[in-house]
Amino acid sequence: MLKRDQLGNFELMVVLVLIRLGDNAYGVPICEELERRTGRNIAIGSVYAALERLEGKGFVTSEMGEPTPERGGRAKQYFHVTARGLREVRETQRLLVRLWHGLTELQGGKA
Amino acid sequence: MSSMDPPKVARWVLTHFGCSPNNPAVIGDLDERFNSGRSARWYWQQVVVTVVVSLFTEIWNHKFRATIAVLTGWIVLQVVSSWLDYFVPFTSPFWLLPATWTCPDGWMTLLTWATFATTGWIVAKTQRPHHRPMVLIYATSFIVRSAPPLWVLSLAEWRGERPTGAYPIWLAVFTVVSECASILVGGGLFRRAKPLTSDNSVELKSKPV
Repeated sequence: MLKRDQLGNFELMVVLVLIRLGDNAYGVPICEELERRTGRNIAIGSVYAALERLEGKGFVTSEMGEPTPERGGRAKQYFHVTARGLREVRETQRLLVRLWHGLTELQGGKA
Repeated sequence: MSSMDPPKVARWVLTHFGCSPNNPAVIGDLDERFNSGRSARWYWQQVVVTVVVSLFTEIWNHKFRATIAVLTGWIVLQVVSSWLDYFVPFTSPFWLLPATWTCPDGWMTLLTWATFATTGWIVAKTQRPHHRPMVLIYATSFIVRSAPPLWVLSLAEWRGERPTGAYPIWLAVFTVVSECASILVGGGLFRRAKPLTSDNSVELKSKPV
């Protein structure tokens, strides 16, 4: 079971997309980037659920942006990765690389 | 409705039943994606997933609160129905035992709806600021509770063995749905959304893009 301050698989994907998007990270580009990079259909409700968990863990902060007419007058909510979130991503990367290292079954594209 | 408007019913469902603390931003994101060429079917799928995921996320994050909300609703329902029985003896708790429903009188139906609305109102009042998911989970518990008797009644009707005086299945289903709707009305879930001039929105007086 995941410890409360660890990153889940989908949460990790969301944080990586947030880092990639920088200052333009709100719901629509986050979903589009996730869909483009994973090739899966992503439900915006799942993305927000992950973002709320990440915010609860202190890995992400959010702020309200400008409302626009094409959004029915509703404001965008921008998300940013915190320093703590970045540390956790680096730690997860280190952990995964250590686990990957030396697995001959996963080298050369063979399952 | 123009072809560029999101499906109104779907939007209404998300506005009233979406439990995410970021619901206004979610609606804005869905509208923006819809306006960039997504279909009405896609919009509906997103709404269903968003409502279900946000409800379960809130319940999971507030398990104790959800338990208290369901218990509160059922206890109040039990107390009020007993109280009604005291004054109006023939109102046996048919809403708790749907298979014995025998009393579809107009004013009694109104009284029943008022009772359910009261339970929804009390759950909402005692569970702020998380009243929306808590009222929804209480209403869901009522549907779950009603499902087995409805199943038994439908089987009996299918076999042609409906007990004398019992509701026909369509009326029993209507009763459960209307009582569930009463809970939601009492819980304030059908209240009009805040005007668009709130903190995170603007009035749409600007030129369309």
